[in-house]
Amino acid sequence: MSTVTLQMSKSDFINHLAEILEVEPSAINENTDLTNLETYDSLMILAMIALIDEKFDKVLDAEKLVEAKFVFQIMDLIGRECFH
Amino acid sequence: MALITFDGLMISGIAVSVPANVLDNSQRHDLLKDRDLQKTIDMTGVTSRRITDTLTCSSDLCLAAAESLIAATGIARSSIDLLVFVSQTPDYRLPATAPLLQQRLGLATSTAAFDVNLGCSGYVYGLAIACSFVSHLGASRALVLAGDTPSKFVSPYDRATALLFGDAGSATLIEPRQDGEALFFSLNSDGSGENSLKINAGGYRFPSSAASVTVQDVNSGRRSEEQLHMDSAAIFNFTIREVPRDIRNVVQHAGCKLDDIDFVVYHQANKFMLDHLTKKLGYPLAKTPRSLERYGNTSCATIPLTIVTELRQRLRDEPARLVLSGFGVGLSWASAVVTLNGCCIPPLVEV
Repeated sequence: MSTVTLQMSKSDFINHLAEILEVEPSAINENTDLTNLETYDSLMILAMIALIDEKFDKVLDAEKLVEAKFVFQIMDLIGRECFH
Repeated sequence: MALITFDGLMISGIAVSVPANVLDNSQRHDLLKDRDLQKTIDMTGVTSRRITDTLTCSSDLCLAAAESLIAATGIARSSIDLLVFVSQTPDYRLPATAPLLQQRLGLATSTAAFDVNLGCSGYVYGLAIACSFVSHLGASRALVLAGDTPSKFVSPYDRATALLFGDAGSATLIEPRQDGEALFFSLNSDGSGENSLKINAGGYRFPSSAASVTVQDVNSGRRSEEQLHMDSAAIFNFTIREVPRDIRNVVQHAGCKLDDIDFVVYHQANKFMLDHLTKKLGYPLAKTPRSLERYGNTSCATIPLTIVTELRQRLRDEPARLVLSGFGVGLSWASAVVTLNGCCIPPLVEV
């Protein structure tokens, strides 16, 4: 297990998230409520868990991700130290 | 964690049977809108599945596989000392199905025969049990019959499970071989995840009742308490946490490296999960054979099914060192490093 904190810029994270959600990166920001998007569903939760595991080496609980509706809440779950 | 090594034996044959009846997932417009249907098929990777008729049980599929294997290897039925039936779809609540298979296969009454109630991890557990009987207890030959018919307990109207599962039965022969390559196993369990994959009613905690068989609305569609509930996200969480670590452990226990492994044969859970696991392992995707596109997730039969449909030709030409990895319901997970060398693999049988 790596103990190094993997980091990413906020805009890169938004780009990755937009790719999963099949929307333009300009369509979402930290204050977007993802549950309002047409493409938000249970498969999307799996894709987010996979993305966060791949980019940050963190396996987030699905339940917590479901509760986190806004992009900023998801970034809080990942940990602010992971973004620059 | 149970890390085990067995010497002086080999996996000498593997056969699998599937129902002839093909179900095409792209036709399920009644379940999902076109776009969601395609998205689900893309993510699970399952385009079609084999489904039994109402009369055929897991034991019937395993029987066909066992007959095919006995014919192909030419072994004497009297040389089989152990029969393990691995399944979560037995013929009856009692008796166990294994003794019935002993009789139907014409094996001696001196055969030890019992059922093992495990799903996704069951094939690897079954192999470990058979190996222990042959390696330490002096059994001459052991037959592991692993098969399931999830079509009988999955609701066709539950979007979380309806397009995923298929039916299949397998037979694997273990026998003594002095110069056989050692087999390595890691067996694990975590019952705290019991609710991630569950059929709640119909056992003795919540016996069958008029209410338990009534189909009700749930988040993912409609199902009864006697049909499978699956929390896909929780299972995904568990798998990516535990399985890569377990595979690394068993490979290390075997004294080799992932680079030395010719193929990683996973329980065929779904494409998205297997792709992610492989990426996390840092292992080449091309060396993770898949049968799930045409046969779906067949519970404890996925690993032998994948070996038969995807690796049969390759294994005829030269030996291969495989990682076998099963994970899911229980929660229960198990990994093994095994070498298949001169393993008899008859063609897939259709029932």
